[in-house]
Amino acid sequence: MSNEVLDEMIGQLTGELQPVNRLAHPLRRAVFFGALAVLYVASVVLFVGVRADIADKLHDLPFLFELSIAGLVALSSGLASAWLAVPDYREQRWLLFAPLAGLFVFVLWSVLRGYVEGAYFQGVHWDHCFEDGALMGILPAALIMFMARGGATTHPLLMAGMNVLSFGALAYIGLRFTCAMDTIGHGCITHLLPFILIGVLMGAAARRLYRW
Amino acid sequence: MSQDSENQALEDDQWAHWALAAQKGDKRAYGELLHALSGYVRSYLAGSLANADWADDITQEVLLSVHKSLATYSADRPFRPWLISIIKFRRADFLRKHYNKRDHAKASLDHPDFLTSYVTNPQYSGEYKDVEKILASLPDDQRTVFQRLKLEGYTAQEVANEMGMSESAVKVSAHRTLKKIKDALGT
Repeated sequence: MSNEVLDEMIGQLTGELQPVNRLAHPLRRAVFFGALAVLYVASVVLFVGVRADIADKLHDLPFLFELSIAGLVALSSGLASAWLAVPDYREQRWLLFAPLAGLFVFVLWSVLRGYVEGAYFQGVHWDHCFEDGALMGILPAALIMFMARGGATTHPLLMAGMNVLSFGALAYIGLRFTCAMDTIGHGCITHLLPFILIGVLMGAAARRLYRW
Repeated sequence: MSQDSENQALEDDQWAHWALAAQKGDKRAYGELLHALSGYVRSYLAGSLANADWADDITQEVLLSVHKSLATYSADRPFRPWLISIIKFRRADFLRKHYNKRDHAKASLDHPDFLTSYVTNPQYSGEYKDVEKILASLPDDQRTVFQRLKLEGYTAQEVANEMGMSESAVKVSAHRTLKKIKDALGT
């Protein structure tokens, strides 16, 4: 490619230039989209119906710990997604470790619970939690994808991972408020498996999903 | 602060200034920015690619990417890390596409552009021809084993399965071929 070709391209790009609205700070974007997503999931929880034993569960420390970890994963991966929408993610690499650390603790916690309480896997069968989870996850997923595609990520795979962690964890929290089945087996199959599969699909299509 | 880093900081400030003006629609500043970036991107890439044409192609991609993502540059951040992230992303993208297409494997050694496009050290180009000649002189099975194992990156197990040989026979065959090539090249 000669200099003339490059000069011509620069001339074209310069000619096409229009004033652009600078992307808001990632924190502002994350708070805005996150608040919408949380409001939506809370509404769906109320619509679907809160589990009957919620008053007891809110005094159950393991339940609260589980929700806190899921909340940490949802929040930190949402923040990481917002930062990843900027090409250099403002050089805040540590933001990527928080969701992974949260996920690690969550998995460890679930394994320990399964070991102590028993997993009680019942195999894959249709359950209303699939529908509730889909309902809870769909708008947060759309919002976070919209937020991600509004920027220009240079890490599409990481972005896909953070996105799915964020809306998956949020929907998981919602499901824990509506579903009274506390076994690890039920949680893995009906609350987590759909989001793991979505994550795999999004990972496979990440370069297309976040192309810019 | 050394003279180099001082110059770099000044350059950074200038780019940031042009980028902010470009975000407001200043075409002159934008033209200045793209011209300045094209030189920098080329030299940044030059040391990490085997082929100068690739550097030009990626430079073009980077400038397009800067154009598309101009809104993501923030005034409170230095310009260079933002730009370098885009350069690395486009370079990785370009190389992945290139190797996915197996362009390097499809190229003929006799193609006039081969030396400039695919050979990192053209002074050794004669050896490519010699290797090709030696490989051509081998029995089909031996050549296939060598190509699969040493050139295409398959494991000994995979080659053994494909060729209906034992794993150790595959390794021995590849080792003999390698020795033949070394002897022929006098290395």
